[in-house]
Amino acid sequence: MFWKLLEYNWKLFRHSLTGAKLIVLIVYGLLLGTIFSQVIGTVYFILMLQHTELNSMFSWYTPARGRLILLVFVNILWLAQFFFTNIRLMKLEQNRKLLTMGYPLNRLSRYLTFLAFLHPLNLLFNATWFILLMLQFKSISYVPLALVIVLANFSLIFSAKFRVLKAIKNYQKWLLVLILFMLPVVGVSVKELLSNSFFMQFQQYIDPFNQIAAVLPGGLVAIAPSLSHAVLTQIAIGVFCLALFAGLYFDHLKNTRKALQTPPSQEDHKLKTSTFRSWLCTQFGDHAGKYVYYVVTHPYNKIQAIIFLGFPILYLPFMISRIDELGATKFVILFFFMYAPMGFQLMFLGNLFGYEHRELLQEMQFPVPLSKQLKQRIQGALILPLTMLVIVSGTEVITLGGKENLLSILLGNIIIFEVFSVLFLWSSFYRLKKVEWVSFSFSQPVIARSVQFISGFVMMALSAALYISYGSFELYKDLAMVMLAIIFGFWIYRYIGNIQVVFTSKITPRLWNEL
Amino acid sequence: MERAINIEGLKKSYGQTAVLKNFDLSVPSGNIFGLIGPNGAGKSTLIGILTGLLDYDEGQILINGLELNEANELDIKRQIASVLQPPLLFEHFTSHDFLHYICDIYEMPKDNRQVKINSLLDFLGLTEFEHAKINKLSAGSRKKLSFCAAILTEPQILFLDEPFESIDVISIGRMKTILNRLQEKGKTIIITSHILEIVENLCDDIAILHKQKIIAYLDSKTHKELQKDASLSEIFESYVEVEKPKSDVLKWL
Repeated sequence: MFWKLLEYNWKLFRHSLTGAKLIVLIVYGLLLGTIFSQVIGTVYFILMLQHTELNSMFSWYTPARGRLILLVFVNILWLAQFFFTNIRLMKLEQNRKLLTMGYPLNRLSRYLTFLAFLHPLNLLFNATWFILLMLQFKSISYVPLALVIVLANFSLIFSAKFRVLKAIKNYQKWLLVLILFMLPVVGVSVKELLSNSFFMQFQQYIDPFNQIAAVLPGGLVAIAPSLSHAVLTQIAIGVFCLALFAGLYFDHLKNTRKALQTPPSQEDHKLKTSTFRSWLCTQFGDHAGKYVYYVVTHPYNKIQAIIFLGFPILYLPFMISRIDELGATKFVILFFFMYAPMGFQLMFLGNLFGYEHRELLQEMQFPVPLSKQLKQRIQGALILPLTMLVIVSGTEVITLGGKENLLSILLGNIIIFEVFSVLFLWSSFYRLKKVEWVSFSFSQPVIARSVQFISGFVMMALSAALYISYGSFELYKDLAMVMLAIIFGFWIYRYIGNIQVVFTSKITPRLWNEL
Repeated sequence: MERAINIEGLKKSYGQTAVLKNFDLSVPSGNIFGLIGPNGAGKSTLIGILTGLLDYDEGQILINGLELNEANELDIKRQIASVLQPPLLFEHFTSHDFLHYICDIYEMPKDNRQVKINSLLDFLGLTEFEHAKINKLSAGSRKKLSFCAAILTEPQILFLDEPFESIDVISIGRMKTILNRLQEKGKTIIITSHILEIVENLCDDIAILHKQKIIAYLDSKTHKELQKDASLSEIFESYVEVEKPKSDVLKWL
């Protein structure tokens, strides 16, 4: 029965792959592979730094500093695993149907729980931990212990993330208020902590920091081998981890069973708020207003908005204060500046037709030209990102004026905005994804994670290409950017002019066939 | 007699599969027109084409004398409305908001809008759901709501794709009352349904669609004459010429 389940999910996955999606998936896979190899290399280097003569090559090295590097790295790794661990239960909606076809509930729950472990991202993280542990154990006889530790860590993350996301979903408004209140406080604190005087006195903070970091989750996993010399200790650690894993596994199994038997109820968005929707329709037009309404009220987007605004607000003041020290990497500042406009473009443009999906067939019957509806939709989707772009550009003029080539920066902003407009319009038409309004929206993002992931890299690459100074060739660079901006702008204008054709050929058949 | 719909030489394929082929049909104005056929015959595809949701490969379509093309798109859409299967509704609106949204789009005067909405909802037993989210409604209530939205716009031609499925018997009666009243006002109604008892009692002319074209057209007089000797279901089977299965084919059951 397990193989039938695999076969069924493989066919679902294969069916969802369009040509474009396959390319994105391959690129995504290559990127993940590159990152994984880099992380493993870093793990190896850090461990070798601690335990071999490699450290004699660095005059600043002390055992305490070496330990600091290891603990900072492993705790960041743990946080990254927590953030990126994929907890989506494999296409729950489709797999639930198997219950009506003779598939026993308990067995299905067990298999789905097991399959969730096999997500590539989850496997990569767990493989990293396993390698990190085995490099320290240095003997193949410790493989079972390393496996048990990795499983216990993963199940802890899996279980905790499930609950954290549920809490975020239930308390997201309060969380938003808290974050907005805390961000300036944290920003100032970070700036002070990393000030020059702090660095000069840093040595005295290393040991206390190491003590704290060693008992954080990442630290505990990483230092387990150093505690495992005595057999009894090994047994104790192994039994503890097994018990933890077993407890969390059965807890998760229980939740999976419950989720399989509970069809997702649609979110009851208490929009007191037909007023809000009416206002949006008045401001943006009926079609755009309705679309914007769906986007801004979707739970996933509320969290995304916090992230897109929070990171720049948190990091930019600190980075701007240190702009002279950043040298060639100061383009990172401009990257963070454009993070919010790009993020809002992703939110509003990345899946133009997924929110309303089949509702669009109703709108196509309205006595309003389809081309007008589509143009209005795109215009409505661009308003907030464009507003962000203007605010960001104005802020750059104020904060960076006199220090940098402002013309170059503003041209770079425009080109990046245009490139992502193109990318996300393409995503809307060729990667249409029906937006789910289930209670766990965060586990079913409205834009595919691979698109988000690749967007980050494209953004970084464009920032590096457009924002760095070209020295004596700066004028030619500016001219080239002007040309690029015009070309992209013209292409977008033509594309929007012909949008009805693309919609009719790409979107309508899909919406109709899902009737 | 004026024709509400005139179709000549219509062709529509999905890839290599022809759904409609050299399809001709003429629907008189003011007619409650029944379109029946086996599953996969192309009824829903035809409705999709006539309501502007689907493209077609070849042919000429006239709706109330206007050719179905981009130039006449708006004029035609102002005259038609449809209830598709499954119905197309705005999931996160309340019924109230949805119907008002439709009224806004069709630029209906605001003064007597609520009166019309109230009367329709009341007539079809939907008043208690007026402020409920559409995604919380049952299948039958959603169908009735979609029907309300279509009637509200007072179309010249109404397309109904399986309108009575999931509907309780009382509501079916009331929907039939509304349809008859529309017909008295000279409107044209095209219905597809598998519930042939309703089709034979409600419809004037009936066309049977099979193998990509109309294989039989029974005007009002003809099908009422035929029904003296056989039910519409039996007439349907005789035209569609479905091969009767062998008597022992399900002997294992």
